[in-house]
Amino acid sequence: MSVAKKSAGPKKGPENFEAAVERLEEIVEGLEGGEASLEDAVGLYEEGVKLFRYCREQLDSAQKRVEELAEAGEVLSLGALEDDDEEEGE
Amino acid sequence: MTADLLGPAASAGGEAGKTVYSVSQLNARVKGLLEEEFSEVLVEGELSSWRTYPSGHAYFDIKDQSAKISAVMFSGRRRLLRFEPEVGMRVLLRCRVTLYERDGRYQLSVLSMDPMGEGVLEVAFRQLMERLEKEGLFDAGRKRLLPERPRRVALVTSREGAVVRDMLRVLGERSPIVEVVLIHTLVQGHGAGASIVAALGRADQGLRNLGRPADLIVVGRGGGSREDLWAFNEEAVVRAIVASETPVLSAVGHEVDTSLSDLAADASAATPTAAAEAATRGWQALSRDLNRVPAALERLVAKKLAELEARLEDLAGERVFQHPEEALGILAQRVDTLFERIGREARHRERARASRLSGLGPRLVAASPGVMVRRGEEALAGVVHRLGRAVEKGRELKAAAIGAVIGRLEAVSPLGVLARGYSLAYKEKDGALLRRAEEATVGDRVRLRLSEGMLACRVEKIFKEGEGS
Repeated sequence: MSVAKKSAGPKKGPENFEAAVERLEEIVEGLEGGEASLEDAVGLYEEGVKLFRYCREQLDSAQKRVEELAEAGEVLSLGALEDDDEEEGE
Repeated sequence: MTADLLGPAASAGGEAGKTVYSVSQLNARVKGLLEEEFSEVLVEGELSSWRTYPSGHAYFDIKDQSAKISAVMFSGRRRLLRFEPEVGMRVLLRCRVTLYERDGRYQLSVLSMDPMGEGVLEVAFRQLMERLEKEGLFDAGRKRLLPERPRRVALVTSREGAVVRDMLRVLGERSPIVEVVLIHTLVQGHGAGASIVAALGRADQGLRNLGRPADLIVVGRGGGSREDLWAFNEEAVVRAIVASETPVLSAVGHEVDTSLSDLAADASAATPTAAAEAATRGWQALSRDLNRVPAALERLVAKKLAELEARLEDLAGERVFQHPEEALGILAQRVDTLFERIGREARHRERARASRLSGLGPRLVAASPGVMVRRGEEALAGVVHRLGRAVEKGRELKAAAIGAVIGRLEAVSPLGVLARGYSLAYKEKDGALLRRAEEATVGDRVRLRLSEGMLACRVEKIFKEGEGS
């Protein structure tokens, strides 16, 4: 029930990947519990599918990111060892 | 020994014709002979004592079943030892024979020492392992669990060679979401130990100081000789692994190789590639679990719907809805009984009142049991009718509600429509979803996504709307 209630709040995207995975686990458990009303169950389902898509996207669209930490402490991108990836540190 | 052999005599007032030495002279003479004759010999025996001094020199005896010789190993030579000599150890000494002039005692000045029976590295390994084990560095209790899904992995290994490429490939293929920071280190040869210690420091505190701490450090190298792998058995390396704030996964050499680094790390893998796999196992599992989510959600909601439908069926199956007239019959019977009682009562009162009063007749007729029963029956018939309509209406409403739910599910479900036998067609070359036949051209390769699995197809012919079929 508490699972369903949480989804009643304003619908916005998950904070981050880990939060999305956690919420998804909660939803599946909540549905497995079978106590949600039909309305709640469908709400959970919709949220679950959205979270699933978000997670899948995050997993699949991630760039292979390889860097080298040089002795002097600077971070170098390692385009040579992997696909090119111009990314620098955040 | 004879006098001639002893060479030129220092003559003094001794027996006539015999050379007389001072003690020092004789010692010096003997020392010279010994050193000349035994400038470098090999001696095999058992260490029977081992004493070291702050100077760094070590004094010991070497013996066999029946004899012993004292020996000294000066600090310069001792520093080159790769193991710690122990009493009872069988060793091979390379040494000069000399004389300790003060005591007139001959002794061995040891140039190098090797253990017999096992290699020097084995002995060194065993000794260091025992010592560090006693200190508790390998205790299972101080090992941390590796993070299940690391976001940033520091890779401490050589940037040269196939091993690092293999690891990067595995890490990238299995979980591109993982960020890898390679920290190059020498992995063999002179200075490798110090290099690994420095690299571990950068992987741990270095990245932390940059505000980008790693969740996991993977340290290791590919296979090689025992000598090649030696740096990973150095005490400083072991201690750096133990000191790391970031969990460490160690993978040194092949399956058969065990290094002290492996023992000290929070976890070890048989090979560097296996380590890369272990580091990303959680991501793999998540990806697998994630792929099961849509079907699980579908199943769970379908179950919910099935339950509701079953409850509706049960409700509709109850007798009162199946045979409302029968239920009504029972009801009517009860009403009849009731009216019969009312009637008896009324007749009784009527007689009592009639004897006293007149003129109330018409009112009593209107209230007579017969009239009341008729009215009751009419009302009941109305109720039955409304009840019947309500049941019908209820069924319709429920059916509509379920229909709406299914509609909502299908709107978001990746599988719902497919589960009933529809499929989605994508162009293979750009993944575009095909909605109309004209969107494809003959010869296109097309993927058909079914509720389970995919088909790879080729377009043979295109029928416009209304053609073919």
